[in-house]
Amino acid sequence: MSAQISLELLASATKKLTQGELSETRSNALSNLRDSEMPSTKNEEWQYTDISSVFALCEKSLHETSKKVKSTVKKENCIAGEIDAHWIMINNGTIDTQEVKKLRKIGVYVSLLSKNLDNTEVIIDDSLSSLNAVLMSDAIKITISSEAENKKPIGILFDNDTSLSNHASNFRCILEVKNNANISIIHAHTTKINAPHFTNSVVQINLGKNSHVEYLKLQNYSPKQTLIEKSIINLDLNASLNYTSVDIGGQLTRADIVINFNDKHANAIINGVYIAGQNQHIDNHISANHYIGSTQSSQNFYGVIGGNGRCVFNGKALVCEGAIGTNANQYNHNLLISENAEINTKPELEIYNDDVKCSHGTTVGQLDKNALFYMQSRGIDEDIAQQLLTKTFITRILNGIKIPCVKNSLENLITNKLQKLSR
Amino acid sequence: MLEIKNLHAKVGTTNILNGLSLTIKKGEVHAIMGPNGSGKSTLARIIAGDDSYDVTDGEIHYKNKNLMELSPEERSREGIFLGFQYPVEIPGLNNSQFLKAALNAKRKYLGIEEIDAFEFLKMARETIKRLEIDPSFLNRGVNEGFSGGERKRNEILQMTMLEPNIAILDETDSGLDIDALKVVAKGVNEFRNQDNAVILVTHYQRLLEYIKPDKVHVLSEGRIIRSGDESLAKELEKTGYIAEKESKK
Repeated sequence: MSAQISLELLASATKKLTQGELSETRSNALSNLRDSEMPSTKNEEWQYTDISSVFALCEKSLHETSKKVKSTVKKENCIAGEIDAHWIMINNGTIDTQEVKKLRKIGVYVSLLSKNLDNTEVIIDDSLSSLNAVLMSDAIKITISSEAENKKPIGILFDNDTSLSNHASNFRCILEVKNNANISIIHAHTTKINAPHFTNSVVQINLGKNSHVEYLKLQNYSPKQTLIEKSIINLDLNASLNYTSVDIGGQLTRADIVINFNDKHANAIINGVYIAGQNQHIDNHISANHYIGSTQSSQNFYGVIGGNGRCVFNGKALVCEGAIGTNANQYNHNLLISENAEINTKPELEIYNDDVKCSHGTTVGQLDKNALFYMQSRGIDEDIAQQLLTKTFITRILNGIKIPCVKNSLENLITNKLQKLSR
Repeated sequence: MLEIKNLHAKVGTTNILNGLSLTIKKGEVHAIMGPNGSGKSTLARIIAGDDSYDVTDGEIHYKNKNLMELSPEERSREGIFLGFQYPVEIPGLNNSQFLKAALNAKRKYLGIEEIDAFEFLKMARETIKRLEIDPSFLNRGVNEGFSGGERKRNEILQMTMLEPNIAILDETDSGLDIDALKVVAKGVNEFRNQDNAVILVTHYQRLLEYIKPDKVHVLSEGRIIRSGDESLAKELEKTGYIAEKESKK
């Protein structure tokens, strides 16, 4: 049972939410919570990330679930206004219906899960995903048809405008990519309001046979916000994924990315950049589960940490018995640019099979003083030199993002962040 | 233009420069020669502002300013250029972005309008052509995957573009084949004029066959033990540094 959030409050909150198609899911999730505990630093997977403080926010919001919170965020005023994509704005389970109609024309179908459950599995495999299922007002289901047009990326904006004093949000997005589909997705968590807020998000992605997805997750929350997000990605035969996560904002961020290789020739590149400054904590846990052989995963995460920022990387590859010909690697490189910056990094391999190619490695270092002096000796200011060097460190990951329209916005966000970091 | 008086410097507890004095005037090319560990590179890096050396005594004046009070970037903008013995590789930073940032940093400091991308490229392409350098240099990462010779050519390219008042070339000839050496020498000879000065730090007389120095100094144990003209370099080539050092004892 969860020691941190009152089950009575949860039960009463979930009753107030729309029931119908989702009632069974909610009820199962609530039972899960009765039998499980919220993660704490006593769990190995959570030993460096203490999320106890967010449960108070969650309880606070439980008293408010009857309020319907409407977004005050306008598309033009946030990142959606800068990046030319088909944006789906999600706010507490409501979506912009006009945009949804437009998307139909290009073979992308968006609906509320409660209106289109259709045997969709709502994953509730741990206490946080259960909490999400209990409290989400609804989920968004996006189906990318085989014929979907890929001229512009699909943008999913988890808008966290807390101006109406909502202290926690529970988002869930289910993305079905049909066989042979080819699509680019931008998944953004952003807000302009700087109030304490806890977002508990679950993203389920199924990639059908021969499908290809370019995926960018961008988290740029304001400094008092917490994001805990679990992404569960299933890859079918010959499916390929190029996933990049960019974490630069928030006070506390925990991302669990689980990639299941369910058939041959599936491959996934899981890249990430995290930049943490004063009072920021960013934790990335990645599991590449190779259930079937002849599959390939590559994890490359680059971190820049300044101030008293603290980051965690745990990249794991599981190669199951019989998964012959698996190719898996995990690399994590970190640049600590202040004395109090901290990284806890652990690449992990768990292999139950011969005839596989696996490698892992991690580095932790500081800026090359000789390179700094070289740049200064060419007239470049020390702080600019530091920013340029730091940027070059993460450039190889940014260059791996094959969604051209995000380039300028991403460049600006990162440059601004690095400027703040070097101050 | 540059006056060094009684310079003492150390790294940790090791004394490297022990009372070095040197005066360089406009229009002069000085060669500083000496065996390994004599303090040649230390001198070059101290002039450029490397703070990993502890300057314990002495003065360096440049254009009537106390150089020690200026940061490395200020020294560069004031016209001091150090061609590195081992130019640093900066993967991911485009050579042309780097050069443009350097050029504009100097222009801003001098109150000159910053150069735009078009003008910069025009200037860079012209310089590259003149120096017979591969045009692909501009699009590559700074020294990324460059051979030793390419790195040194890149230093000459930077020097030419930045138009310093004093260029200190730290063993720019080391590791160069004869063709690369000629390119480097061509760059230096085109650069030198009556208003600037060059300090060539080198082990060998070979470079001086292509760049004629006005003065040659022999550095040993952190001080200049002998100065002369071009003929001194030829003499050293025959006798070696040990004989020179022994004769001074």
